[in-house]
Amino acid sequence: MYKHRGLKAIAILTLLFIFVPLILIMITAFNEADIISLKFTGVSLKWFTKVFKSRSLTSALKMSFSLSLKATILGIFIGILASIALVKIPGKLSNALLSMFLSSSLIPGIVMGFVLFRFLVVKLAIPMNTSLMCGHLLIILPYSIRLISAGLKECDVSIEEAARTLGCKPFKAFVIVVLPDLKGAILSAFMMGFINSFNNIPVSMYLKGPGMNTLPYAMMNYIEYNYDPTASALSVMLMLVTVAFMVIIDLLTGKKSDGRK
Amino acid sequence: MKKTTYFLFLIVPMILVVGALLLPLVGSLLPTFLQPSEYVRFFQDEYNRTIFYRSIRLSLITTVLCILLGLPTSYWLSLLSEKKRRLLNSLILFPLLTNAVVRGFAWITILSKNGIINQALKAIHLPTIQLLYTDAAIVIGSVYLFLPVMVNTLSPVMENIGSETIEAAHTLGAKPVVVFLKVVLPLSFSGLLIAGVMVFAGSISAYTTPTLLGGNKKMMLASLLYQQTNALSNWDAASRIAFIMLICSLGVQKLFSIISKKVDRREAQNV
Repeated sequence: MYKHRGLKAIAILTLLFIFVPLILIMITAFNEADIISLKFTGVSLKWFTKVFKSRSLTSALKMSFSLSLKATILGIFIGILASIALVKIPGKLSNALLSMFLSSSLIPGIVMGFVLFRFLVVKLAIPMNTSLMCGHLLIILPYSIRLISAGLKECDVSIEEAARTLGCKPFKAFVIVVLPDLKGAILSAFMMGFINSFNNIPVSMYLKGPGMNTLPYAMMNYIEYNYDPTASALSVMLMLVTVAFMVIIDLLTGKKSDGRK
Repeated sequence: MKKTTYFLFLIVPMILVVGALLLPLVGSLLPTFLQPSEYVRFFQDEYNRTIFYRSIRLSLITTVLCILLGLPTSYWLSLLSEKKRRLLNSLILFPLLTNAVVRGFAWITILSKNGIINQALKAIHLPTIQLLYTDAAIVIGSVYLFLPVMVNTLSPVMENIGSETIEAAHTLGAKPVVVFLKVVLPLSFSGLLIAGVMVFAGSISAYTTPTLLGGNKKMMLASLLYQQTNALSNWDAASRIAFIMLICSLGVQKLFSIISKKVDRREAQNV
C-alpha cells in the first residue's frame, strides 16, 4: 500500500511508548532483587506473596471488589429500566434526558468527588457507605445507560410486539424476547462500568470514609511510602484481571454475532 | 403500558444525576459568584497563578504531543489489513482499561532517583538526573494516559476516509506526505479537534497522574482542589477551583464542539 517510512516510524514509536512501560513493570515484578531493577538476579514470585501478606492491600482489594460489583449490578438494573423508558419516550425529550444522564461522565472526577462529599456527607449527613455507592453509581450510569439504550434501539421492536399480541405479559415478553438480544450490550456495560468504578480514585478518595480504602487509593499510599517490587506485582495482577475481562467479553460477544450469521 | 409508567423508570437515575450531582454542583458554584472579587484574588495569588498556568501549559503540551504521535499512528493503523488493525486497536484499548495508578507507577519506576534511567546512567558512570517531580514527568505521564484515547478516537475517523480516496490521490501522483497533508488532514480535521479537546480536558482535570509524577512540588489544579478540601476544609476556595476546572474542561469542550460543527457545515457547503 501507500505507506511512508516516516509514518511507520512514528507509529512504531507510539506503540513502543504505550507498551514498553507496562512490559518493564512485568519484568520487575518477577525479579528477585530487592529494588525495582532490570538487572535480573533470578525469577521469583515473592513479591506476589508479599501483596497478599499486606493487610492494607488485601482489605482494600476486598472492599474495592465488593463495592464495584454491587454498584455495577445495581447500575445495570437502573440502566436497563432507564433505557426502556428512553426508547419509548418521544425523541427530543429522550435525547435531552440521555445527554443529561451522560453529563456526569464529563464532569472532572475530582470536582464530582468534592461536590458529592460536600452535599451528601457534610450537608445531608448520609452515611459514607451510601454516599460512596451513589458516587460509584454516578460513575457507572453513563456507561450503562449509553451502551444499553444503544443496544435497545437496535433491537427489533416487532418481535416484542408480536409476543405481546400473542398474550405475553410485558415483563415476560421483555425477559424472554428482548433481554437475550441485549446480552452483548449488557456485558459491555458491565465491563466498562466495573472497570471504571474499580479504577476510580478521585470520587472514592472523598467518599471512602475513615479507615476504609479502595485498592487504587491504597496502592497510591503504598507507593508513596514504599519503593519495592510489591507494587509491580500488584500492577501485574491488576493487568491480568483487565486482560481476563477483555478476553471473556470478546469470547461472549464474539460467539453471539457468529451464531447469528 | 402508559407513558407515565416509563417516567417511573427514570426516577432513580434522576435522583442520582440531578439530585445528588447537578443541583449540588450548581448549589456549590453559584454562591462563589456573589463574591467575584475572590476570583480576582485567586489569580492575584502567586502560588495559585503558578498552578493555574502550569495546568494550562502542561495540558496544552500534552495535547500537542498526543496529536503529533496519535494522528500519524491512527492513519498508519487505518492502512493496515483489517486483521492486524483490529488486533492493534484492541491492544491499544488495554492501557485505557488499566488503572491510572499502575500506569503512573510504571513511569515512577522508569524516572525516579533509583529508577531504570538513572540506574543505566550510573552503570556507565554518568551523573544521575532529577526526572521525577518535574513538569516533564507530568507531561510524559499525561501523554501516556491520553495517547490511547487519541488513537482510539481517531481510528474510526481515519477508517471513514476510505482507501478509495487515498488511492485516488496516489494514482493521480501525489506523494505520501502530500496525501497526508492535503487529503487525510482536512478530512479528519473535525475529528482531530474533538479528540484534541478531549485530551486537553482530560489532562487538565486529571488527579492521579500529576499527583504521582509531580508530587507536592509541581501541583496541578486537581491536587490544589484536593488540598483545599482535605487539609484546609476551605469549601469556598475549593468551589472556586472547581468552577475554574469546569470552565477549562467542560466549557472548552462545549465551545469546540460548536466550532467543529460550524467547520463541518462549511465543508459540506463547499462540497
